[in-house]
Amino acid sequence: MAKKFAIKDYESIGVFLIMELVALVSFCLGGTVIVFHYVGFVVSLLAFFFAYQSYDKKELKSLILIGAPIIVLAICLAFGNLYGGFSNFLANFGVFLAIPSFFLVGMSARRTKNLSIENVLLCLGFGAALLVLISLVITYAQYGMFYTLIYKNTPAYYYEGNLYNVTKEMSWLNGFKVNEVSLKYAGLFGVLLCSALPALMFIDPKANTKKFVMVASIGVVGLLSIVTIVNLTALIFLIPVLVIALVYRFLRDNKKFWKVATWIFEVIFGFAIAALIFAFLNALVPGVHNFTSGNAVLNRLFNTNRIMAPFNNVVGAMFKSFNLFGFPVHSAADIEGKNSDIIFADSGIFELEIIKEGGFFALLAFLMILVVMFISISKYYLERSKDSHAVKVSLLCFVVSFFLYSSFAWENAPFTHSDIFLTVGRSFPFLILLFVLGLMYFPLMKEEPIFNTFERKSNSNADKKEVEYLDKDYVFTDANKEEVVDDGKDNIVV
Amino acid sequence: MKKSLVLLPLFALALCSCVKTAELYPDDAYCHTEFDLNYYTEWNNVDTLKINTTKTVSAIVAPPQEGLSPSAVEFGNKNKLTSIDTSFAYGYLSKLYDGRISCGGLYQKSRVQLDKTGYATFFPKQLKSASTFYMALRGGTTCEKPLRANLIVDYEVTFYIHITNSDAYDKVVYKLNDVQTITDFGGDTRLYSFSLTESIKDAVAMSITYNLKDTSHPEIADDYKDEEKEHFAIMLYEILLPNSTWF
Repeated sequence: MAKKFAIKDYESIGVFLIMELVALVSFCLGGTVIVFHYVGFVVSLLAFFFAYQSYDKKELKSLILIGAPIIVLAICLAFGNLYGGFSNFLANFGVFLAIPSFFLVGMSARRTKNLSIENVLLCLGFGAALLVLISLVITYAQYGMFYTLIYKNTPAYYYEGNLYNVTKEMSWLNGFKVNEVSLKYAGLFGVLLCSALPALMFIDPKANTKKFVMVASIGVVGLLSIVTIVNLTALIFLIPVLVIALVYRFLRDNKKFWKVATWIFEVIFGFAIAALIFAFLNALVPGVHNFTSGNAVLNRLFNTNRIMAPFNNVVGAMFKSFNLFGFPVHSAADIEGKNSDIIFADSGIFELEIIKEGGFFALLAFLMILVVMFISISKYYLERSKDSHAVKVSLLCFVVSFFLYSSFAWENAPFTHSDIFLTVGRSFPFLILLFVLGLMYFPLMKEEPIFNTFERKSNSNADKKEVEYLDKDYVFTDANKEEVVDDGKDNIVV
Repeated sequence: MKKSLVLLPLFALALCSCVKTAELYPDDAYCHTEFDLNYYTEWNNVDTLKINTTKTVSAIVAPPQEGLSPSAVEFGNKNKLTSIDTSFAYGYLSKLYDGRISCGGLYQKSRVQLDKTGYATFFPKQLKSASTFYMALRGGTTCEKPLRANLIVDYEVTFYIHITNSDAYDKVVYKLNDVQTITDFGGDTRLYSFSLTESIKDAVAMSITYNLKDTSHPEIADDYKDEEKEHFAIMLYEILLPNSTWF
């Protein structure tokens, strides 16, 4: 009698594909992201197919809250004016598919029965760490160590008759060749890898030596890439990672601390919103701009510093009719001819680059995603997810450091000897971010998400062996969760 | 395990060959606002070569092309040495191999400023064949009011030919006499050329020197150490060896 088709028999394919995709994207294989746009779409379909049964109707409904802005963002970034709308259809359609796909892969990874979140993160970490390690070795060979300090006074060199600064670049594996990239671009990878280090506080090195060494090696590669090159920008962004790690380790259960911290956060947030609204008015309303220009302090705060100058340029041009859906490089309507200057100026701010690429609506969609994810992570994921503390703190550090770093040090032209322009929607790091956000996404309209408890309902020998292979110290199961003891470290004893 | 961890930093140090840091300069090197600080007078040890024989050839200079003309600009871009061989892309003198035959708004960044002692350099590779030599240049002075003149200058373009199985070199000196050199016309340059009638196969280095012959402007000198006169310099923008082959 023919065997009945059972999805679970083929789930291992989904597991393999997800881990492979994550590893290759984090390694930036081939240097060409368009291939992974389409591969990611195919994998997302398969992954969703395998995970579909774990959703209930309420969860699927709540997906609209995050799904809608993601689709809008995808449309705006893919078909925005910067890349010619529908003219370069194959490449742009890939971006449209990739953005929701990678988020979906992340969500589905969490719901795939035989896929350990920790193993997925290890794949992601090792992929990026290998890329950074290879690039670091080449950098040592070509520049030496600590060269940014050693050559601080003689930084200039000539290549093809153009003047460059050796202290602002490093060697980088780009596809199958080596290019020089800016330290800002390489620093993003270093900081993201360092987000693995806080997990070490929750892994017992004696009980879990293998895991400890694996996680440590990922983080150490990131740290080496920052310290031995003396990448000061990246070093500064390690401070938030450290703060989050320490707070999570020592204060996460301290209600008094969270009460005060929440109050402080709300005050700062309020001020920030007010300042942002004023900044928008300053950029858009000539009267407000004249007012701030006339006062020395306000002028410095809102006009002439490194952040507000590009902000004013981009936001000021955002509502022009030809820029509403992304900034076209050449437009007959751009009478002043300022667009290409604004587009190619390195704002260093990820959010402004989103406006350039997809326009005002892309920014709105992105902000909505931020709000939904903030609520999902802070209110649901951190409190209710049964992920180990190691996973939670790593993911949290990853997301926070990505947003902080990209909001102040995003590089839109990473290759030193080339003018290649790298937009947000067409970059590897953005795909990784989407995947991680999908992984952390907790549906907002369901109190106790099914996926936390659906796994390993049986205690069969096969399941037990699998548990031993994946992580013998960490088991989450509905059948025996009352026996689980959490001693604060990542070696939950059953 | 512990031993391998200790050896790791040593391994890292052993990797350091510092190829990219071999030729570094301060930020404002040769790009100073002060004219006299921008002279490139390096001979890069070419003057220490052991010379066997010296052959002098009078070069017949073809009528120069205007550096700002589209045809000359296209010619420079098409025949730049960095396109012929990427090893020419590195170093300060890559300015002379990047195809820019005039200022293009880059001022000091696009040119090499020479006094009469000129400069010399080794090629990154050995020349196999070349038939014509081009150089794009103009004159510049420290005169407050631009001279806007064509000054008579003699040039010597010297090639150093490696002698097989020997540590000595033959010199082939091309003399370009009485060349009208456009001076102080902003970024406008002239592209001069001459045929390499005497073979320079196996050339490993070259040098350029000049002598300001013009006496119509006694207030200027081609020696930047002369403190009593205004200074004259040759602004060299490009060296071209179209269709040359290297190994």
